Amino acid sequence: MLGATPMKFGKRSLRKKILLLSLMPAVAVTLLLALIIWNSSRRASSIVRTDVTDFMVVRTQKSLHHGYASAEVTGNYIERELRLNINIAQLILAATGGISLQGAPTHRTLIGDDKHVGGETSLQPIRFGSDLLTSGRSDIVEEVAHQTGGLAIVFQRVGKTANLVRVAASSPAVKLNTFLGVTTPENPSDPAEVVASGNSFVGRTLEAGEWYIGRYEPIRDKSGEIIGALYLGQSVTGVKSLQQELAANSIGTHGSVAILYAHGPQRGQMLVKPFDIAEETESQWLPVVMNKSLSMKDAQEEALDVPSKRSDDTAIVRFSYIQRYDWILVAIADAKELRQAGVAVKQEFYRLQITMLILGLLTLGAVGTISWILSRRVVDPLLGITIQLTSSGTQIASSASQQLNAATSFNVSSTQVATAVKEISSTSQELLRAMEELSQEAARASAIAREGSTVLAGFGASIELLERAGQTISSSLTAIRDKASKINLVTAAVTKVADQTNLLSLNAAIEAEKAGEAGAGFGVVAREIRRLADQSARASQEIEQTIREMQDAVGAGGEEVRALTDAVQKSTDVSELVRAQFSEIIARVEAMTPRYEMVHLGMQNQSEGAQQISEAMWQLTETASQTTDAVAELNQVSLELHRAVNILKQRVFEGGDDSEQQEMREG
Amino acid sequence: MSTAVQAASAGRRRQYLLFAVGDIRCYLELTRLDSVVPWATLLPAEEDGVAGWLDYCGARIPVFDLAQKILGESTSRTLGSRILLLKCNGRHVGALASEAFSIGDEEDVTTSAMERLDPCEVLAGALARLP
Repeated sequence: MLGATPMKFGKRSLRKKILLLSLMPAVAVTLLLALIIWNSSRRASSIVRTDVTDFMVVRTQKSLHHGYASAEVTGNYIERELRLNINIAQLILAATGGISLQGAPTHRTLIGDDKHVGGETSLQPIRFGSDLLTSGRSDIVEEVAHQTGGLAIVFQRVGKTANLVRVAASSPAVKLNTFLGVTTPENPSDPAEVVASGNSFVGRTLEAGEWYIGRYEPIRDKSGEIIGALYLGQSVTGVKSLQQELAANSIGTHGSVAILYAHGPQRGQMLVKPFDIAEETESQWLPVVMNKSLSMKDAQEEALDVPSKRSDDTAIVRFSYIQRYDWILVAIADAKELRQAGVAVKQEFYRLQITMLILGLLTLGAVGTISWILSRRVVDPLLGITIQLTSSGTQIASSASQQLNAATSFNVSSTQVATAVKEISSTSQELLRAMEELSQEAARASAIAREGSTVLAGFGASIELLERAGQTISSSLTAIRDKASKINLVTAAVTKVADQTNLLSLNAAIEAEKAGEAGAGFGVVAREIRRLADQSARASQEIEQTIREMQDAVGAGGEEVRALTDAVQKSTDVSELVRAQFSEIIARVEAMTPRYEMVHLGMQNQSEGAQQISEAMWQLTETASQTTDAVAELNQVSLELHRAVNILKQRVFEGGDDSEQQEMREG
Repeated sequence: MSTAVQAASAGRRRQYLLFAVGDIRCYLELTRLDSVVPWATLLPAEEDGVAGWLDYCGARIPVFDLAQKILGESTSRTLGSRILLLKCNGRHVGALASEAFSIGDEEDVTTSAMERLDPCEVLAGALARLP
């Protein structure tokens, strides 16, 4: 009992040390890794939630606004050009004598179509300058079309009604039937009705089955009566540069822009076709867009999200109506484009957290088990064996049979210890494999974060394209401003000529007055020249005013383009910020790799130590077995010797019979 | 054209040059005028009241600033500024006007707020001092 107390105290102290030394590093490493991963996951989730999720929506809206602004600037330019062209056309018509009606009404055959009423009618002959129009073709109208570069039409008014008959037309691009049937106005805002009331009409019109941006101007005779209308138009389909600019406006990697007509015979026809995710989801958003287009007003915006099988997410659809061209401008983007990278990172961090939790628990369990086994199967048996050996050493001297029992017991215990150590070695190798898998998971998370960074780089390239488009528009506006300055020089020259002509007419009038009766005719000519000079001066002033307004509009357009460029620059800054944050995530994940390797190295050393212990224990078991055999032989020899001594003792001191002698011989 | 000429001859009326001196709108019979010329560069003059000398078809003609004489302010040179050439007492004289804008008849000059201005009457004193 006196020896048992310190022995028991020694066993408990050794167990605590083994448990503490094994568990403390494992708990510390597991807690540290969990803390790092939890912090990284929280930061990544915050970035995804605040910056990435809504970024594509804002980007899609900006594309729509950019498209509408470009169309607006181009439309303003076309309308101002039409106003200038109308002035030029009126000058040409005035210089050639103007348009007038003359003579008795004559028979005409009008061509009809789905918009115009054909048939036989009676019209008063119309005169272009000195030429009476007979064939529906006029050199003057062709000259107007040639000078203005668009569609030029002269309409004759039918009596006092608002009905118009097309009597002469010319276009560099389209072949037209002249003497087309009567156009009957359908409502007060119809161009024919507006012209009949003596006003100009500017807007979108359908001519020869195609949409134009055009201007109707009343034609009056000398008495001021409205006898027809002059029409100049520019084809909407011909605005190729605007379409190309809008078509090149891709949104991210998968998004694009589409343009289609909203009304008229070309309703639903696509001028710019979508691609990628926009084309794949076309059957879902196109019916909704076409349905809403019937009630949309100019610049009105609508939003729509449709599911996409391709991206397993939604497609962001934003569309706007451009009344000037009757266009629906649709911008489509993939909502998953950036969100995918963010969600993937978040999922990988979540998986990493779960893996770390499981591995941490497994590690703690394994270390605890190993410590318990070491304390129970190694420390206790070793102490027991020591006691047994001490006892056996004493007993061997007195009893060979007790030596045999002790050796056999030792042999059994050694075998059990060796088996336990082998299990420890196996468990350590499993831990090694688990650590390798953990390291691979960290490498995979790093690769996914790099993919996210690459996607952002692609997005940055798209923003650069948008910036270049803005620079192109700015260059075009500068060119328009330069040309306007040149027109100013021309109008200045016209003003000077008009002034000289006026002076000439004054002197002609003086000479006519001096000539008395003989100069009366000359006086009339002088008056006409003066009237033409006054008209030229007024037209020149109007052109100057128009050019000034156009320059102001171009200046305003330049400001809008500069604002657009600033917005694009801000988008670039946001993209760079997100990229920087992705780089920080990559750096943090990669920084974990050396720590995994440290843990891996520690576990490898532990496994090698367990293997060495296992080999030593098997050698000890083998030795114990040999000892048992030797003790058994020794015991057998002792028994034979004991029997021989007994027989000899019986023969010498007690006198043995024949059977005993026989037993001795056989022994 | 012939019809218009006949009409002009039948109802022939006196014709007037409508011009401006500063803010004042004036008229003068066309028969009083020799010619109207743009404001050309004048040769410098030392004579009192003469704005300059005009080289007209080889002859040197004194030019007077009507605005200076009437309003006491010099005429501003613009694209529309004119020199009215006429004879005063048999001598060729140039009168500088702010603008000569049109020709009118009696109805035009009587129904509008215009006043008759004969440069010879305004420049009589200055002409008398010329050599």
